[in-house]
Amino acid sequence: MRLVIKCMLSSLLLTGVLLLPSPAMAEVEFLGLKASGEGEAGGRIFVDRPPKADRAKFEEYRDLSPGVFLERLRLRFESQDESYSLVLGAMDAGREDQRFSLYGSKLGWVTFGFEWDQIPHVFSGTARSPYLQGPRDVFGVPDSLQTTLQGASAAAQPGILQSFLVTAPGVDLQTRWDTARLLLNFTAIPDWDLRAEYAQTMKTGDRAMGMVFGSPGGNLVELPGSIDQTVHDFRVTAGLVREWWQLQLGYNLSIFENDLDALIADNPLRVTDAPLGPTGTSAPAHGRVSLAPDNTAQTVSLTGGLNLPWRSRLTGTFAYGWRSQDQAFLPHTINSAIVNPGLTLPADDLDGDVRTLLANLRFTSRPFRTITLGARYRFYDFDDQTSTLVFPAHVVTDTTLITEAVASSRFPYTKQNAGADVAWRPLTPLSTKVGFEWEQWNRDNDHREAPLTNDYTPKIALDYTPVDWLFLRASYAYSWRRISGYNTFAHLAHTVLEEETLQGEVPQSQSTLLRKYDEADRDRNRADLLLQFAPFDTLTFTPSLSFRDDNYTDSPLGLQDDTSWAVGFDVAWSPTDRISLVASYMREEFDARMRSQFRQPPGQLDNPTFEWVAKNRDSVNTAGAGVDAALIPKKLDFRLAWTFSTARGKMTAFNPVTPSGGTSAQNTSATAMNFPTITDRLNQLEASLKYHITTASYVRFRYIFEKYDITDFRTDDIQPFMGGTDIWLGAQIRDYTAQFFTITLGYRF
Amino acid sequence: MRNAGRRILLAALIPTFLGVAILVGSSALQGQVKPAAEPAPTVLPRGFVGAETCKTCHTEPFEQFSATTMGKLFLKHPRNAKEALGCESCHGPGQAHVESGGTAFDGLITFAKQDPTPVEQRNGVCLQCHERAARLHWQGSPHELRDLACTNCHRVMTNISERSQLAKPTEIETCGQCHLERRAQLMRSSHMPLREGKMTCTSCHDPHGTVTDKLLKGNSVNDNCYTCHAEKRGPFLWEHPPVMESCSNCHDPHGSNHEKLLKVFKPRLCQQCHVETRHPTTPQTPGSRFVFNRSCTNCHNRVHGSNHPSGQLLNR
Repeated sequence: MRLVIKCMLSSLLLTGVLLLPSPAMAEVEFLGLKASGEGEAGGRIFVDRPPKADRAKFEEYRDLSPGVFLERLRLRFESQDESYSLVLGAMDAGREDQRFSLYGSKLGWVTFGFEWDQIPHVFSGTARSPYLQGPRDVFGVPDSLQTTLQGASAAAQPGILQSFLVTAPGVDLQTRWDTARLLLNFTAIPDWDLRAEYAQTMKTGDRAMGMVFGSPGGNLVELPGSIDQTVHDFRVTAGLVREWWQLQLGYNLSIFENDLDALIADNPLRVTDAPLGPTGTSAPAHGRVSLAPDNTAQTVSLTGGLNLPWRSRLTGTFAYGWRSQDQAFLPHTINSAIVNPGLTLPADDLDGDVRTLLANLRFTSRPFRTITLGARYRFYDFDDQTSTLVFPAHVVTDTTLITEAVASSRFPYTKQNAGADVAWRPLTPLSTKVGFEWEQWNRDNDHREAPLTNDYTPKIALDYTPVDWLFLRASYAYSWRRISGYNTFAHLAHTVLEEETLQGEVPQSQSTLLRKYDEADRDRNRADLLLQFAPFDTLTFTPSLSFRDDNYTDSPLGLQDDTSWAVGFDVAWSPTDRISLVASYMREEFDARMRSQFRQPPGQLDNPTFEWVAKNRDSVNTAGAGVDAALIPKKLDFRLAWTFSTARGKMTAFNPVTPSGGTSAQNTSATAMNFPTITDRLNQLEASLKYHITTASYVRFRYIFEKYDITDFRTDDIQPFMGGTDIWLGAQIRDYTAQFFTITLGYRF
Repeated sequence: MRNAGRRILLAALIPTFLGVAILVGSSALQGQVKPAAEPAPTVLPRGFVGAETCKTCHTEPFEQFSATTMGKLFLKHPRNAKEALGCESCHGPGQAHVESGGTAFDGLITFAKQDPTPVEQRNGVCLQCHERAARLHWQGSPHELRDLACTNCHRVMTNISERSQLAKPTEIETCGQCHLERRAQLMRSSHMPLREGKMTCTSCHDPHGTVTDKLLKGNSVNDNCYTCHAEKRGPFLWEHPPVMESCSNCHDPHGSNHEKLLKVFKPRLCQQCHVETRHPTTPQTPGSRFVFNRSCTNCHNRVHGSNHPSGQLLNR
């Protein structure tokens, strides 16, 4: 009730202030400048506000708190001759998602701008954690718990943990990105364009991070890991424009800074590090995960455009970039019981050095009115010059010492694209185009399975306007990708030092039947159709259809095929000048089929009955409708907008042949089964009445209804304790229903 | 590069560039650029009638145009003879149109839906001034090759959108005129904050043409994503190759009904490429810790790469 009174009083006050002697849209002056602007502010009152635990999806990227709010404000000041201007903007001021902007310009000469934008991101409202966070992302549980669990039997540990986790307090799992942006655009010199932009994004908050002790059977903890990162992005371009040619030089500097190097957490099952056993296994009291390292990237680019005879043009871009990363390495392990000379680090840091080179050429020509020719070539080289480091030993999840050398492989690649097409317009309303595209990936021979892939795509397109109210756009492309060969040793090669006895003597860790879908032979069909009917200026109907089918023709295991299609329409109709109606609908389906095989060394690496097939089908329906009506022209406007989206993810799996030939446990592990369907549905409705008090002021009443439902077996019932000795955050995404009103006053001058 | 070094570099670079830009511009201006408020020519070229004549009949559009940036420039502060032509700098000479009482359109480009002027010619009018900066790559770009007119997306005569003089109030509505599927994708459960107004299509794309066929602003898919997600850039000690080659191997940035914009839910996404031994190859049960919550990334949380000396399994 107090809130309602506050909102009403605020509204009345605002009304009084805004309804000062209004010049009814005549010019307003302020300190000798012409002033204009608009603002809208008011209050938000909830009829049904989701409780905090259910609010994550509702306020995922927004702040919709009840109370007074400034929806938007825009003030413009201009010199009398309108050559100078200053524009101040604000949206949702005082809220978590607030945004401000300030732009100034001298017409035709220079523009400068400043923006501040906050983007919240809420992940879940149900997270709970027993961990206490110390400084710099160090998480601890009481020593008494660790002592108790360390001394308890494996059978007793879950019960002890369950009792402890009942009282785990709630934690906020959300982040916020705050971006400050400065820009300067200088166009005073007729043939020059100078532009500079600097943006700084500060990311703070907490998000879920997992840590496992002992892979893969060890216990796991999920933590609200902190984010404290800054991205600096600086860009400057200088362009010179002449009648027949243009040149542009650009530079970009991007710096990523992470104030947190690592996430450290107690292992609840241990208060001390267990001594290293004869098999090289310990049990740690703590774990440590590395976080994203600081890095820097710079790019210099030069772009030129040249207008040639026969209505032709050549455009070229060359860009060279280099990236570096030299953050100091963490030690191999935080487990004090694991000590080995092989754990001496071969270097203090990676000294990461990546160079990129881009060359892009494009030529178009219209030698005749009815013919358009196009050709293009693109070369992108990713040259990872970072040295390979060899680690004589390493520690798996702070638990197990492995005295087997591993080398950090690098994965340079080159990607080339080329294409050509011819468009012919035999008749004014008809245009046809045929073209051909080629794409080649050239990867490292030893460390990627398919060193060379070539993708060929002939295509055809048609644009037809038989009458001025009908437009048809259709295209079809068929492509086939072929690989030069598949190196089934690549997976092993990129983690273990090559040995002379390797091939044929050591079982490969990866099935030789696997073809990774980004490196496999593939045939693709793709078709798109768009129609636009506009029999009257006031009516447009646009149906569309798209289809894509990928067939992985030579993949015994891996992705087999991937098909998707979408059909929908859009309608816009204004039967009178006082009413306009819109409606849209889109149905999409995605089907992916994969094949795999359960493999367990030493004896069950290639049991054909252990093969299994999984099908994933996603179906999405999206609909919308809206009405804009002037109930009383220039006095009372009505608006209604409804959006509906529902998605269904079906995951089935089966074994073509019943698993057999292994132990009972192996046969069971190889048995595939369906997963419960995942569904989500979003319903949004907004209705508003806008009453124009004067030509300059108005009051708007809005009613908003939102309902979100989700069924996801993976998170619906998750709690900090889910059996065993794992600790989860219990971060659910929950259904919500929200209904609220907003009453705002707007003023325009 | 240490933090202090980076800050010094930025502190030096930013004002240096800005200062150079302003100095160059200012010094070049001295004696080289005429004052901004250049009066309209009193003698019009043959066949031209002047903006005031156009205003006589087209009063409302004239007033609307006067309120736009182009209108203020052309009608009040032209910088050169072309801009000083006002309406006719884009529409062409209007004398025949005036003398016919408004019935003849010879030599005029109306930019209306029924305008018989070829799209290339209409766009050429805009490109006389706007073929610079972001429009350098326009010719030969996907939109240009499909005969998209500038006026399909922009409205020159009136301010409908807050910025960029778009044909619709927002970018999503403008691009969504043709890209219906992408517009629908924005409503999916897992999405970037476009429908909340925090991002727009041009946060990632430049519809006027770029060096990529998907009209991305960056030099590659990954370079585009790293603009904001620089923590994924590396280089890392232990890389995940499909991550390095393209973020779109696993993610659909326009929207997905799977968490984190993934194309397929985990563990199936990962199992499409991982057929080693044991748990990656197990089809799993719904209640397994390898499936529920965040599935594979419950443990392998450094899936984009790890800088930990013992992080080759991407779980440290």
